[in-house]
Amino acid sequence: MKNIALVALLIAVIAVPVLAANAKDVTGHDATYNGGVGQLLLDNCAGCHRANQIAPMSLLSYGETRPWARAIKSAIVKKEMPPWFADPRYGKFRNDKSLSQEQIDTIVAWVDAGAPEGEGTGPEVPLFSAEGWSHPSGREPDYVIEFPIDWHVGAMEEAPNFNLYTPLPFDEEIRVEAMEVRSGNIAATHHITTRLVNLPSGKKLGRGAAWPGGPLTDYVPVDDPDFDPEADKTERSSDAATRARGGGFGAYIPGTAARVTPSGQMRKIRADLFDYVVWNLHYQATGQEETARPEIGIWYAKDDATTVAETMVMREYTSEGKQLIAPPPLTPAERAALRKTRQIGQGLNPLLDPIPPGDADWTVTGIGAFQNDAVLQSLLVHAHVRGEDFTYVLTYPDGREQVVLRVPNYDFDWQFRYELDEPIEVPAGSTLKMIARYDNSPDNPLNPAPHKEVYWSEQSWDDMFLTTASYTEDAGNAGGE
Amino acid sequence: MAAAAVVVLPLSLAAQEKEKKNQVEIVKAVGCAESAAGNPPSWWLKRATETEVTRQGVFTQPQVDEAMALELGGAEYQLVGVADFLDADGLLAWGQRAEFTTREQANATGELRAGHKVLVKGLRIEAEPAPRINLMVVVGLAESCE
Repeated sequence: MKNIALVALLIAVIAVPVLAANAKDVTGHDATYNGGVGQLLLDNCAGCHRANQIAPMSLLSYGETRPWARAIKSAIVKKEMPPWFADPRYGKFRNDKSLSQEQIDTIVAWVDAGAPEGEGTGPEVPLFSAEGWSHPSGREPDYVIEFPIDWHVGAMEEAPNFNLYTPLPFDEEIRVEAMEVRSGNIAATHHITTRLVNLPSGKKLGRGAAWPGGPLTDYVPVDDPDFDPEADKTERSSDAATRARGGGFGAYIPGTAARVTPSGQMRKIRADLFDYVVWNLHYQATGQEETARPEIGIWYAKDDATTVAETMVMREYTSEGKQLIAPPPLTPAERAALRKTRQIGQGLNPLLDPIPPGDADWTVTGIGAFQNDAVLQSLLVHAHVRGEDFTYVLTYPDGREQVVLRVPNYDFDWQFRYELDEPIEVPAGSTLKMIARYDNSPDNPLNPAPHKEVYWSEQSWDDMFLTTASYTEDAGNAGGE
Repeated sequence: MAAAAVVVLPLSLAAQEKEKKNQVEIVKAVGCAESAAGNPPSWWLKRATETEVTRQGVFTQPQVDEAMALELGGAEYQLVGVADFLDADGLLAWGQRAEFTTREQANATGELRAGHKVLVKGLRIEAEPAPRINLMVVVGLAESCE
C-alpha cells in the first residue's frame, strides 16, 4: 500500500510540471504566467493590487501572485473581481476592468494547471508612482497639498463628519490634468471631500472645536477681532456670483483613484476666486487608535489642453412620485433644531423625506440641464449602504431618451466614476436625469438597521443622493458652474 | 510627505475666458396640459403664458402660489421629456424605461395630466410648428384650466 502511494506521489510530482508546461486555455493560448496570464493580471488588477493601495495583497510578479492563485480563480469566477457594476447593455466605459469570459477561462485554466510560471521572462511591470499615487502614467504629482496636522481617530470613536480649512497655496487660476485625494489612512477613513471656498466675512482661521462639542484644533474659522466691515468690501468677498460657482476640488471615497481628464482636456483650480480649501473629513473607528493626514495630489495640464472639463450637478428633484418644492427658508434656530432631530448634514438633500423603515423601493430623480452643446465625458454615483440601483438617462431636445449608464447593484465599497469610452455629443436643450432607488428593507444585505428611518447626511448610517456628470463644452462656452 | 516641487508654471486662462452666453435658456410657463394621440402620444402646453427666463433649482412655495394666481395666456409649446411627470403606466411606455423600472419602482409624479393647469420649467428649444420645452419640473396647479 505504501509503495502504491509512493508511486502515485512520484507520478504526481512528474506529471504536474508536464501538465503545467502544456497548460492551455480553451482557445489554445499558453495559459502560463509569462505566456499571458501575468499581463492580464497586471492590466486589470495591479492598479489596486500593489503597495499602498486599497487591495490587501500585491500582484505585481509571479512570486507575489502564485500564493493567491486559487483565491484569484474563486474571485474572478464569481465575478467579484475585478469590481465593476455597470450594466453592459448600456454604454462602454474606458475604465472598465472587468474580464471577458475568454479572459476568465484563461486564468481558470492557468490555476487548474497548477499556476505555472511558464518559459521566458515575465511581463513588464507598468511604472507606478513610488509614493503610491494612482495616476496611470506612474508620474508623481507636480504639487501636493498636504493637510498640515495628523488627525487622531479614537479606537471606538463615533465622530461626525466635520470641516477644517487650509489656505489654498495658489494665487491665480491654474490648469490641471489630474487630481487625487488620498486619505492617509484607508481603514479609518469613510470619506474626504474637498472644496475651494472663501471664509465668511468676519472670520479667520484659528483654534476652535472641530465640531460642536468636539476636540479643539487649529484650522477652524473663528471670529476675527480685527475685522473691519468697511475694509472688507473687496470684490472677492462681495461677489455672490463667485461664491455661487462653488469650487468642487476632489474627493476620496472607497474605490476612487486619480481623476484624470482625457487628452486635450483640463480642469481649473479657481485660485483667482477662492482662498481656502475646506476639507470635509469623516473618519470611522477601527478598534485601535489611528492617525490620518490626507493630501491632494495635483498634476498640471499640458500646454495643449484647451478644453475645460465642467461638472453638472442635478438641481431639480422628484421623489416618491412627488415634485419637490422648497418650503419658506428656515430661521437659523429652526435649522439648528431640525439638524438636531433629523441629523441634517451639510445642507445636502434637505428636501428629501426620510426613507421609511423596511421600504425596498424608495426613489429619487435628479434632473440637470445642458444649456449649451456639450460632450458628456463621465458619470459618478454616490450613495451609502441603502443605495440599490442608479440609472442616468439623457433626454434630447426632440424628446428621445438614451440610457447612458445603469448601475443595477450599487456597492458602497466601489464608487467609480464611469468614464465613457466614446464621449457622447449632447446638443444644447438636453436634460440629464439620474434615477435612484434605495432599499431600506431587510433584503438589503448591507442594511445595518432596516427598522429605522433613514435621514440624509454624510454620515454612513444616513444616506445621500449625490450625482455629478463631467462634460466639456466649446472653448467659447467654457464657463460652467 | 513634503510637497513635490512645482515644475510647471501655471497659466492663467482668465483673460481668455469669454462672457458665457447660453445657447438655450431655462424657462418657466403656466398653461393647460393637453395630449395628442400618437405613439408615443405628444404633450402640449396650450393657452400658456409667455415663457420667462429662470434658473435651475427647485421652485419655492411662494413661486408656486404666484403661478397659481396667473391668468392663462395664448402661447403654445410642445412638451418633451415628459416620462417622469406622467403616471406610472405612462412612464413605463416611454423609451427604455420598462427595461429597468417596474410599476412599483417607478418614480412617476403624475403631475402632467390632460386638462390640468400646470407650472412647468425646462429648456426652451425653438422649433416648428411650436417651440418645445424639455421638461425639468412640472407642478400641478389646478385640476381644470377654467
